[in-house]
Amino acid sequence: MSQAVPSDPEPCSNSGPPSEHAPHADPVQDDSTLLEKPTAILEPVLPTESGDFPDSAVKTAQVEATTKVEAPEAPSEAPVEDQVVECDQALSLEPDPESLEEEKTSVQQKEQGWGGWSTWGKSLLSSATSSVGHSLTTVKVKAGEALRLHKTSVGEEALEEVDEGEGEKKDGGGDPDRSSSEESSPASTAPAASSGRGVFSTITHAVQNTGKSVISGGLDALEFIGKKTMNVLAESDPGFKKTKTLMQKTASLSQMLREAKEKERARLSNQPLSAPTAHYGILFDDYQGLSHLEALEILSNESEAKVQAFLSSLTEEEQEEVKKELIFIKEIFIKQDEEQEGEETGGETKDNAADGEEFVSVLTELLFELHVAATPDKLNKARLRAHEWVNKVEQPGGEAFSAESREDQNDDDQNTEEEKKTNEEERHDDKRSVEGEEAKDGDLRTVEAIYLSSVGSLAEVTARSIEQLHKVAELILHGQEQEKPARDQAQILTKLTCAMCKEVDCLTKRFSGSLLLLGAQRKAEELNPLVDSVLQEGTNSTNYIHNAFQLLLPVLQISHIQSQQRQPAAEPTAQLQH
Amino acid sequence: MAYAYLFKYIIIGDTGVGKSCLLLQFTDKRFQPVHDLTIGVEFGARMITIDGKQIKLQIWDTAGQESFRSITRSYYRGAAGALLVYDITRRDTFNHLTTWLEDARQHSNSNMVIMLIGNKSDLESRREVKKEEGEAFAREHGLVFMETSAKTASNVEEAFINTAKEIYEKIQEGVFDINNEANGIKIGPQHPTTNSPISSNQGGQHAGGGCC
Repeated sequence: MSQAVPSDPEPCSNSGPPSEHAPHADPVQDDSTLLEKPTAILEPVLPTESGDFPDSAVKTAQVEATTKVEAPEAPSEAPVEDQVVECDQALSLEPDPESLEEEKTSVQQKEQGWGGWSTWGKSLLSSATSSVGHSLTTVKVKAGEALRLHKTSVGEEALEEVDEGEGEKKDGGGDPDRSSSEESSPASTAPAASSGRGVFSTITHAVQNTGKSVISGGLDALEFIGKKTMNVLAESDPGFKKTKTLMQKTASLSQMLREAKEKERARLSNQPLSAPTAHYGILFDDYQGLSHLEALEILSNESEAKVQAFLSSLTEEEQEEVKKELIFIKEIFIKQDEEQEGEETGGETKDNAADGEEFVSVLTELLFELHVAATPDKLNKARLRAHEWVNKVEQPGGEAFSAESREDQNDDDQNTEEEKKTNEEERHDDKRSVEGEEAKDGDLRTVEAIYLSSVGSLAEVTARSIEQLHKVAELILHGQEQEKPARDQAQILTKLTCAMCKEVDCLTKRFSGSLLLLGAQRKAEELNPLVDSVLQEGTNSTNYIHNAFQLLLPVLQISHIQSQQRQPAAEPTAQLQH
Repeated sequence: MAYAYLFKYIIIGDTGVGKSCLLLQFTDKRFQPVHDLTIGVEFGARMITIDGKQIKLQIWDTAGQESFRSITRSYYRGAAGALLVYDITRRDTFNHLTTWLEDARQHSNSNMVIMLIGNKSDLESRREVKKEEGEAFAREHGLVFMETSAKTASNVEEAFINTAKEIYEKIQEGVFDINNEANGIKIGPQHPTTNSPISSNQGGQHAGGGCC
């Protein structure tokens, strides 16, 4: 995507900082934070660091979430913050059976379509509803308060808040362009039936009122969608009606992405390919990344529902027991995240995967350890291609590689994988614009060519990583007998995800490095947007992968439950002590 | 390559009947005699044109193995069309159709268009299921029927496209609520132009506006 194109100051501002700032600052922090944004923006431009912060954002948030989980019980008391905590309960299997059941059903009813996000979304709805719902007539005002309330009360509830923020962000992102026809919608919304929509509307309103700068408010959601596509969304859907409808019916990450992508595609079809624009979202979909993500969301949702159903079928004591185990698994997800974060911030020397073999062997080994019959072939091929390509770029005096290697890619795809026509067409498009540049500069190693290939490679590797995680989820659920305890699988999966993200980071760095190297004589205002954009897509990529990973948690939990049921003889506590 | 509509399809049926090969033939126009067992679900997509409109088919090619059944069932929901495939050279695959059909009906929306496909029509000498039987089954259960060969590409296009036509007609008739994505239909980004015929059917703007 071409977010970083300089003429578009707005998007630029939301591009970089979000991920960095989102972590602790609560999502709804908008009003105040927006003011800080501009300064922060500069940081992400630095090539090397950027890859990491999204992770840390998620991680820190999670850590905090866990702490809460660990609190032995007492779900139904906390009054104000409970709204937020509620979400946590559903996720973290808090004891109280009643509230549990309630949650379960409400989650199911409201958000069949949500993935691991469902609970977050739900908490958004419930908290926003309760703070807003009292007087629908003064919704606008209230919404503003609600936002502020979140901001202040949230502090520790980083995870939920961040996530809520994402939800809001998504909706709010396109908001600035909302037509005024929407204004009346919140007030007229029937409270019970469409509380969800009402809330969204109010939120969008508040966001709208605070102005465009909210978009740059530093939330991860924008990262996911990509600010450019967000703009496109808003442009081509001024009333935001369609997206709103979508949000309210089935808002899941994959759907949001799909929407955004289609908008972008539509926009492109009406636009001459003059500027070099790389379309991450479109490519990501062409590599079936969206479909795999959507399918993974489905599995995650169903697993979550099954876990909740199972828990509610137990007596209180049994429940406590099982919950302990489930939380144990969850903690592995989170703990490893922490470690990973430490590692990443600790050293930038993690590029070891760059030389090729390591990543492959790590991946293969981890998949083998999982005891599920998943092979990393596709992912390996994708990342190999990416590295080969960037190797060529980095070789001084390399010639005519970019268009060529892209053709190789196509051939490969055709022979080895079921790559789609659309994909090829897309690439042809890319090529066309690349060739245009060539004609101009007489050099194939233009920064534009490198930029396009970089984004394409990131999209491919990310799509394959998510496909990999999806396959793993399917195989875990498929497992006839539990080959490996869920807690071990959780550990391995965390490592696997970590390896994938590192790989993406590494690729991102190499890409941006090549851009800087070969664009050395270019003007900064030409070069920087491209570098920014690559860095940002790298961040997006690791975010996608991380979110896909989080979707695996319910899958492992239900797998654990099922294996326990299969072999009731096994002492659950004994297992836990390892 | 913007589309007017996106239809989600699922391909279901016993293992080895040629589901993945049908998909490959449809999306890539090629045939692979040996295909890996599908794990869970794989995907394919292709653009087709119906009534002058670009329609994107997003196809979920499910694993046929019994052991994957509980997983693949999860994917049925939200499909607008289903290709229910059996192998004309293996009667057991035909015999299992009832189970598949029940499963599909139970886990997807009731308007889903189901196309019954007797695949491997090129293997006439090994035929175990008469074409008439397939037709009868389809008639009995209200399905569309077709014999195809993923190998020779015979009827493959038709199978996918006719299903889409059927869905498209249902949209025109207002049977499908195109704004409910649980129906497996999404409106493309060019809605201003593509929507007009439909919205006239449904009276006014697409449903999203209704609740505002």
